[in-house]
Amino acid sequence: MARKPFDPSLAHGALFRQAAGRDDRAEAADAAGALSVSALAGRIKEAIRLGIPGTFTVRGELGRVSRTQHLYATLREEDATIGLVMWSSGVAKLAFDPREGQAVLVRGRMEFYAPQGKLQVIAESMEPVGQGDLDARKRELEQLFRARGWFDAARKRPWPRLPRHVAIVTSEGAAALQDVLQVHRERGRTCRLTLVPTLVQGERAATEVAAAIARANAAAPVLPFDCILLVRGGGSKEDLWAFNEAAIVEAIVQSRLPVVTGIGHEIDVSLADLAADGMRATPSIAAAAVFADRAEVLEEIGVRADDLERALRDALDRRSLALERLMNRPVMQSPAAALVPARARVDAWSSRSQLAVRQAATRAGNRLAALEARLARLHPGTRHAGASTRLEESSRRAAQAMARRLERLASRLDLLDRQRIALSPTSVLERGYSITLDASGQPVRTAGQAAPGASLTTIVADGRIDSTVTATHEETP
Amino acid sequence: MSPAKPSKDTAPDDLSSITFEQAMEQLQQLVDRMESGQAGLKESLDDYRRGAALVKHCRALLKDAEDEIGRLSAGDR
Repeated sequence: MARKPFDPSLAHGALFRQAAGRDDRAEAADAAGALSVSALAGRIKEAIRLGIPGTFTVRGELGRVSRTQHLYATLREEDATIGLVMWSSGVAKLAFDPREGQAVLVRGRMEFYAPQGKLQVIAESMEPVGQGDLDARKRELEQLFRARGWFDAARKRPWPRLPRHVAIVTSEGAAALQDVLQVHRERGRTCRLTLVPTLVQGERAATEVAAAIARANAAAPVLPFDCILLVRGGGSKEDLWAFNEAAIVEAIVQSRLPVVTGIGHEIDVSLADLAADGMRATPSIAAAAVFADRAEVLEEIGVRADDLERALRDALDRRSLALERLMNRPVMQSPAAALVPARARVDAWSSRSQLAVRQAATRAGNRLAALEARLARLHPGTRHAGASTRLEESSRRAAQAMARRLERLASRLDLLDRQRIALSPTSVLERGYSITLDASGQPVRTAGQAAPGASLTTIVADGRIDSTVTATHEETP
Repeated sequence: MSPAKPSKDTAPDDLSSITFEQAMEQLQQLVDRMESGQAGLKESLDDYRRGAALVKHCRALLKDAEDEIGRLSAGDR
């Protein structure tokens, strides 16, 4: 909306003419009919007194603010600007700290300060524009954005633990940027940083920050950022208002790169914070959340490297242990031992085969004997086949009975022989017993058989011992 | 134990695209596999060589940032 500069002759033409007419009478014009500057200034003052009488309230945004004991500022709105002065008495009563970019309601009067040709508002009181309005507006926007899903937890993306290159979106020369650089140094400069400068306060801040976020995303082919750190130092609710506006919040939502915010130094959470992938209370804390700590990372790599070494050592140890166990097995200790069971099997097999051969020989002998018997019966002298068969049958039975008897006798003999061996004096002697004989060669069985002074001969396994009895002691068993 | 002859898994350019997180994750898996005793001797040695390369890669990722801060202005786009 374009506005024309103040022109008394247009805006208040009648008044001007009226005033001029009165001046004509009051002041002396020079020969050429020209007004003096002070006369003109006087007319302007008069025009203001009549056109903008008394005190009024004006709403606008503070431009550059400077304070001595008084406060000087400009009050602006898009393409209109007017000076503002507040005397120390008014400043003392201010309930807030006026800053550039702040929207304010000013109560005051208009003044033309002739010495400097300045048209200015003399402010009697000033207050920030509707704090309550801002809170209500924020709640409204929060609801709207939430409904759009901009704050959904599912939207949040992680950022790399060790980012290589981080885009810092903030204003150049801001304290917040210094805080971020400080943390960057403290954590050992583990990544590259690129500043994407932007305004962070005032009416244009929202669109500028949004553009900066888009710029960081668009820079990907040249500057492949891992994430965006959006920071701004503390400020009043009005200062930080831009971070609730749709432009910034939407830019964060649409950012391909994860965005981590550190806005303000207060607990108050902006809508940009809610939409961000990560939010921290301050620029420093946000920076610490994004920049990896060199010492920490080196420590972790070291631990992993140790794990790797140990795992390899264990893998090799396990194998050498298994090898050692194999080497300790008896077979490996004395290879000949492995042959023992085999030899036993061979021996067993050998004696079984000898037995089988013997049995086969016996069977063959029997068959031969039987054939001989049959041959004898088939002798021309023997005619009758039936008788021959019966004879053959009884002969075979008799032979079997005889064989069984012989077998029994043989086994009894075998048993007796084994008892004989067990009872043989020699074998008893070998076990440590001995036989004692008296002078007549009779075995001494009782103590009474050997009177003191008698000569005895003791037979042991490998010889004889002669001895003389010194005493005898009878014991009842 | 030095990776004298790089196996097919440890070609250096193979690692360049691996992020720090991926490298750490792979390291953990290698160690787990080696500890499980499932891997053969050759696999364990290959795992170790690959692991050593990953450790080196992780350390390289920490290379100092040379300039503290660059600047991306509207005109730089």
